[in-house]
Amino acid sequence: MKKPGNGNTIEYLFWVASSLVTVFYAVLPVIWIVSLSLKRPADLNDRRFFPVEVSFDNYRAVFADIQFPSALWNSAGIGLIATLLAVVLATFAAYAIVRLRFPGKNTLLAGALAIAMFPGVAIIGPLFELWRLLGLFDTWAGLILPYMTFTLPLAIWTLSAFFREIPWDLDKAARVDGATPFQAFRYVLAPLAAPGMFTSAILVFIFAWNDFLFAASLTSTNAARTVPAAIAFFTGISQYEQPTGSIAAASVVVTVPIVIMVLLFQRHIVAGLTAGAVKG
Amino acid sequence: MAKIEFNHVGKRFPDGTVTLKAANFTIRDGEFFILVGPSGCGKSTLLNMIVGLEEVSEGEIRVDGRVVNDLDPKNRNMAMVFQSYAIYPHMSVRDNIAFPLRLAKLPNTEIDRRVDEAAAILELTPLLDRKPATLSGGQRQRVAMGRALVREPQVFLLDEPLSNLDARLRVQMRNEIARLQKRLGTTMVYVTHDQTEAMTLGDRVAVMNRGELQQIGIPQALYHHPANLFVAGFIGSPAMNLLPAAIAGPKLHLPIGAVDWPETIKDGAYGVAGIRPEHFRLAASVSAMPDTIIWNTSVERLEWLGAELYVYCEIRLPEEWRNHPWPEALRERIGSDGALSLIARLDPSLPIRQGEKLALQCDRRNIQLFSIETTKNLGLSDEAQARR
Repeated sequence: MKKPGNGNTIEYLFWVASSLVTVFYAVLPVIWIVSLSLKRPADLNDRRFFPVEVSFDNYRAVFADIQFPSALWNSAGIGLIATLLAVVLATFAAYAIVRLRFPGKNTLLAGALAIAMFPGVAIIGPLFELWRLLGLFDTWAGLILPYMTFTLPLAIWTLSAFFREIPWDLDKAARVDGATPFQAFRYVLAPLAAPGMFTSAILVFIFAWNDFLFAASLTSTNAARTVPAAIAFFTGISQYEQPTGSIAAASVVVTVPIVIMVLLFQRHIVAGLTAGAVKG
Repeated sequence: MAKIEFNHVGKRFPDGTVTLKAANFTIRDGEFFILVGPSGCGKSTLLNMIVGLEEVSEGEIRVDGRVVNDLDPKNRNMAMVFQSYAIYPHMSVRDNIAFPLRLAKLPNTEIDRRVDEAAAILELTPLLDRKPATLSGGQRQRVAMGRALVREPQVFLLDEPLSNLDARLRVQMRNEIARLQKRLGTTMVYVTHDQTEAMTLGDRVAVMNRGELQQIGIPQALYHHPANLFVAGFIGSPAMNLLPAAIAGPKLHLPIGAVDWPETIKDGAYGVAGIRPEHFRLAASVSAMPDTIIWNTSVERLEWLGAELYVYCEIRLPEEWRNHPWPEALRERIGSDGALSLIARLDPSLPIRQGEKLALQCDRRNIQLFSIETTKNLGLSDEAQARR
């Protein structure tokens, strides 16, 4: 056994310190928001990091607000539907891109990436007019469509990376074993690409859940307004008051589902699921 | 059970690459048939065409008389074992083996019965509930075999199934596969680049090179009567010695001596002579008989393997023979200074030392002569064989 030498100790300290700095940097704003949400309205400007007295008034105010529960419902519904559709479509697209030979394959991938880089704000104006014309304004579909469009490219890229990792021999083996191309996909490839599907699902869902731009521009009532947009329309308890506390409480409320979802799906994102398929 | 016929079967890719040139042969019902050749010779392509994973671009493949060119792989009732095993990593061993049966929608009791039976044959029973990731290479290989076995297919196709195993396991699995095939009596097509596997397993062996069939025959025929220089150099280990040869008068002149050559070959022609390492013996006497060559040489290097002794000797070709347009197979063995290394396989009990002078002899009957233009074996006509 070799004892950790001096160099190793320094290296160890370096990694511990840098991890701590990173975590602190990432978590600080979250803690700040949580702390704000727990302060009494009067204490909001007390310049303390931790609340003097913990109060749930802000949470009560948020849920008493008529628009917040429906916004939560809209967010969840729109986010989940957009995620489901985007992941299913992206899975098929990625499989086709990786496995099939067809002309224009690279153009397709590059085009998809270009869409992902396209600034959403540039199309908001035309989209607003178009949605009003088509009757999609202030509907779920009106938000699901742009969310899918903007997240599909990333999902396709992620999933094609996963499909590329799956040995082609597995498709072939399934076909020889008597599977139709769809059965080979359904029973062999899709389960193996599951970690990729969960990864993309998380990305798509977070995008849809957090989006403010489309939600604020393409909705006008509780019919489809999602939480980020709804928060912007919060009023204080009195009109002379900044709704800082309510915003903080609402932010905490909407962050919780995301955290739960990531923790749940994280179990499925098992690296090396394909280990053992072929001689490794 | 199936007979597979190939009728001018070829494979051409859209970019013009030809990986298989018009193959014409028949794999008999119940036969253990080997496709052997160096990598890239088209043997795997041929296998994939049989099972339907590659399209047939010309000719037709018939299974029991029925053209299968456009039949989907799932409808061919053939089972394949892949070089990479291609085991489904997310399924247990049991589910892996049962997969083809589930797709065929067999009743569960029948599936269980067949899986248990296959597992018993392959000694996989204790592993049935394990995931592939926890299995060793040999065990994975057996799972792949089991998945092929349960189907009770009409043809087994194996694509280099043993190449990822270590030497000991390879020998063991080789015997198991041979036993299994005899027991089942199912037609088996086996692709390998390993000539030991080819020679030990095959009822018949097809040697391929650069997309072309070189020779099909029983292992003994390939060894004793190789159809051309490629087969001569490919089959046998160590490889057959190749020497430049010239025919002058009724004699065959080799760099190691001359011998009477009764076969009617154009006088003044050149050829390539092939002599297997084991056909050199220590010369009994120093004087040459008309039908043997006595070669006086010295030992360059020795390889003593216990059961065998390989003696490496070197000859230096005369200037006028070095630049002759010999076929590739011979030319690549000649050094820039005209040196050509020959191997003799001798009795390991002989007290031979490096640098020692030796007299080796070789009988005329053991010399094969190949054309330098076509590389075909010149002694292979029935007439010539009858005379030997």
